[in-house]
Amino acid sequence: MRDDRDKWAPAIGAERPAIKNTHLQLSVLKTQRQTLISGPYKKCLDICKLPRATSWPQTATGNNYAVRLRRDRILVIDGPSLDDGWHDDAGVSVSDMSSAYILVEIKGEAALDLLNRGADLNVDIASGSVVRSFRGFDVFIYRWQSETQFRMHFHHANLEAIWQLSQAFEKQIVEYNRR
Amino acid sequence: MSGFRVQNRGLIDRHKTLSFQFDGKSCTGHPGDTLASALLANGIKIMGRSFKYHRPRGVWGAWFDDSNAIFNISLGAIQLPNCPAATTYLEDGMQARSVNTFPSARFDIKGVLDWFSPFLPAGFYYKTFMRPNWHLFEPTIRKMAGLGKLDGNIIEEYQSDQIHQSCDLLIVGAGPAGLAAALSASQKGSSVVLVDDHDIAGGSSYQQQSNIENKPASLWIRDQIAAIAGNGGRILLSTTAYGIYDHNLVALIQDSGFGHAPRLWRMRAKRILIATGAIDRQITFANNDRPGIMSAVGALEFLGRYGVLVGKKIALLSNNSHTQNTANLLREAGAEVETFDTGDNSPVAIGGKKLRALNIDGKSHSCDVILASGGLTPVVHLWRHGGGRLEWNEAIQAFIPAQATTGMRAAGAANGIYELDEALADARAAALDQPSPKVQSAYQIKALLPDINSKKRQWIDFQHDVTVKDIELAARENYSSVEHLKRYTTLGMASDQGKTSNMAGLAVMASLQNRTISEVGTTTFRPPFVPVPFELYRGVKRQQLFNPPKRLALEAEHRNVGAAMGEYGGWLRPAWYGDDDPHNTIRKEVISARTHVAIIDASPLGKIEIMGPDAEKFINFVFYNTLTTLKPGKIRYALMLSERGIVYDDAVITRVDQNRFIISCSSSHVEGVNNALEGWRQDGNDPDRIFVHDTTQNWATITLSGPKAGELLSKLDMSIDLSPDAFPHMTFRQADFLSVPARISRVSFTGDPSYEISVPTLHASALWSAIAKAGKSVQAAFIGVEALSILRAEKGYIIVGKDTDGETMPHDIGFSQPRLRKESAFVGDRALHTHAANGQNRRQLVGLMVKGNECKIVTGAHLIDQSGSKPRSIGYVTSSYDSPTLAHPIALALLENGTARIGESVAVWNQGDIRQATIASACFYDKGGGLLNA
Repeated sequence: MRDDRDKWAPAIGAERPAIKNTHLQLSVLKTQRQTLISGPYKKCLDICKLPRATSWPQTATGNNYAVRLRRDRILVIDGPSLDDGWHDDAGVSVSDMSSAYILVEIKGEAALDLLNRGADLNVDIASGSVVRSFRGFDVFIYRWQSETQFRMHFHHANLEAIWQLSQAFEKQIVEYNRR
Repeated sequence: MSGFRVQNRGLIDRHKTLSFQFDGKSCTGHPGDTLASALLANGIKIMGRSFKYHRPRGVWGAWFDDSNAIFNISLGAIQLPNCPAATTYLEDGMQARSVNTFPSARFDIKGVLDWFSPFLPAGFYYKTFMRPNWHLFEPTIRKMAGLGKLDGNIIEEYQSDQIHQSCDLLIVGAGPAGLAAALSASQKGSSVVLVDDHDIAGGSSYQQQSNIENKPASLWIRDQIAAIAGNGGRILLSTTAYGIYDHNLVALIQDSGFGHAPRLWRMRAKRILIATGAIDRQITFANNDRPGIMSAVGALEFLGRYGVLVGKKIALLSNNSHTQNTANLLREAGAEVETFDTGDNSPVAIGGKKLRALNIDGKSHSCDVILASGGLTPVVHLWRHGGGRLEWNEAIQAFIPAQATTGMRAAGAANGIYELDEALADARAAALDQPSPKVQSAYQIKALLPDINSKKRQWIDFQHDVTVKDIELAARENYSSVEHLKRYTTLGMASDQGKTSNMAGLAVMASLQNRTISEVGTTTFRPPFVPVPFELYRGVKRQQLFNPPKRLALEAEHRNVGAAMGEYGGWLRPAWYGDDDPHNTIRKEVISARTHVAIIDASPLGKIEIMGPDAEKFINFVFYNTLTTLKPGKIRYALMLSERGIVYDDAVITRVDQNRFIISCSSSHVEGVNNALEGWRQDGNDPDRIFVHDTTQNWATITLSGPKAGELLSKLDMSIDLSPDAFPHMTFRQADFLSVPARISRVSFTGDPSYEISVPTLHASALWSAIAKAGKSVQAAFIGVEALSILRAEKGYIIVGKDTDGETMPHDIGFSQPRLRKESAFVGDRALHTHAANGQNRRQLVGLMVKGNECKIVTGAHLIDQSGSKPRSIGYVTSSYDSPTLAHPIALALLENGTARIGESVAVWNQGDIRQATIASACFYDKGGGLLNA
């Protein structure tokens, strides 16, 4: 029986120090609530009382906002508390995902450089969805508050891998700028 | 050939001298030299050997169009194999060795193979080494084959940087056309990226030594670069575009210097302009592979960039109007040049390792170099990668870009326009997406067809020793399609990728078949255009970042109690707990689970929610079992099939309310099941009435399993009536745990009473602590996946993908009823009624038992039928364990007609021995199922 207990470094979890350098800062943020709502777009917004869901490359603002994942799905950050399940009156499905997704903030002038090492992001090409593949991991990436401040959501089970990737990318950015 | 350095020519830094060795011989060069140019300057002409016959090879071209000189290079502690000499810049202290030669390129023992060449034509290997057995010959042939060798040392910090970028216009090639295009586009405000594989922009301008738009070339280039940069354009030098993929994704490799990993740019361009120039087409004539025979364009490149004149007495064999200019430039540099027309009959190169003369019409013309120019040929490889079509241009005797995919243009020489001013106008128009101006070309060329009747050997592919006779043989054996020809003869394979051999090969095939080259067509060029190291694709995906597993929210808690974490279905999960002998530990965990209660982290189990008014109809269609009859609060086991009726996954399905179901599928199948559900949702359904949410990672699940599971659950104070009548097997309850919502499912995959308790993952730690604390009073034990697997096998609960395979249908594992009775349509229905699905000898799930104290059968062992003259496999063992509960080994197997054979004995081919096992029911534990309902 192979004992692999030492093969993988222990997971640190969400409580971890930020990655910081002069051009970049990466940190895990806490949210009160993340709610997945599926249904016709307008109905999704109605139930969470938000005027729009941010798509790419729009900038989300404030602490209570929604991002658009696909034609009929949004993720609401710190929105109202809603019951899980089918809302017959509103015609939407709701799932609390507060525990499912980690939220990481990436800011600084090299933020986009870091993200571009993992994902094909073009700020000149609009997309209705903020869903991206970040080196094979499904993530949601969008701007928050400013053009150099980004937020990325992903499944908590991928935190260790995505954080290690980000650390490796940060080293590459430093090396690239050094040369 | 005796190359030498020419004063006042080239871009090299003559103030500094670099020392290096080639095949053990000391040489010198200058910064800016490539290994090939430095060797030529040192008078070294033989730089490699051909792959098959080990014939001596010199360089053919001065850049990517040379596939003859390939080196293993060491510099300090770094050694890299398969470096092209013509594109590797010289560094001080380099030690280069020609690949696949011994002891050197000049004196290679395996050169004797050439004596046997009459017996080794194309296809020889396929025909000869089939009998008696390829594997007899394979080791020797593999030893002889191959190019460079790895030294096995790891280069620290050798890690590729990989970046996604985008631009409005990507221009490939920073020659005059590329520079002009980049400036035009950048002036209009486009975001422009201009890439060139050299470390200095200018392209072919260094060959010609002429003015560009009334300015010296170097000044013109400098001005263009400054203006492009001033307009915000980016210029990436030492960067090769080696592939164009879907949606205008262009792969760029940026050289970072010897020993440093190259950078990969994944450039997404709205438009792509190919300005890659043109290379010389080779001429097919007798002995045309001798060292010292090279392209005329290559000779000008060596002169213009590196200040190297490739010979003193040059025979220039050509069929086009560029000859005179080439001859003049070489004469100005000090060479004696004699020109010859390819129309003259039967040229023959005279000489061996040293070229002595060119014979034409029986007359010998002494020379040390033959420059062969069969006509300029646009570099259209990237054009084809991008899906562009080619058309044959009779006037220039070459394939040129024709119909393009959206957003792709070609300009300048790559577009078949060889006059400088016309090329610049063409490039500027292309940059602005305007129509190309009409061009009156002064370039003249005569059609070039080989002498296919010559009895002397004429080379087509220098790297692989493909000759005209090999192509004749291929045509005779009906490998006449260019794609078949390529594979039969290896023409244009490996690093050449058709750059030099393609046109020559097509011309031979055209002559043989009395067709035009246009009718023969060309092979499909595929990425990479130049060889790229594997590291380019690896980048940071190494060690712990190579396929990293998902991590449990409770990992720290597991490690705190000694879990040996292992990879299971994409997750890092506890295999067992403790530091003692694993087998004993796992055995104890199983016994604890059967006698007291086990605590299992089952968080990876799927929790995919199906919601909406049509959820019931949808889920009934997607799953094999009937689910319309499932009442809210109830749970049902169900199978998901592929359209071929094969078991894809199993799940327990909870109906929460009328419009909401939770699918708890296998841990490793969550993404697959979710994708399948999303796919079927869009197929014939109203997508506004069904929604699929994968909430797996929102919920942590801890399973309590064993006779005392209910007792332990009761200690958590969740205010649930746990009596069997109030909370029976296969039912579901919602409750609160420390004021957060909790879900409790009474299901089992051990065979004992079990409860799955799920809370939001953020509260998993609190639940774990509470269970661990309460568990002490009931002798609860943490158990890992290994013990769980044994518990499942004892009960006959399958693991899909382990106890099933790509042919297993539901009735093979005991689920026959829906196939016979379910009235509504479901995925896989039709496949379950085919002849194959109803065959008598389908492999069915059974149990196996061995006698007394015999050791267990290994997983994978074949069950065999010995009644015939040869043993025949009739199934195999899918799972096998020493059962701590039953105190004897057990196994599950898929066996032909297995259920009808229960009680019989079957022979098992077990690690070289034949053993006997008794076929049994797949369920070994609590066959009546009474414990589940206790």
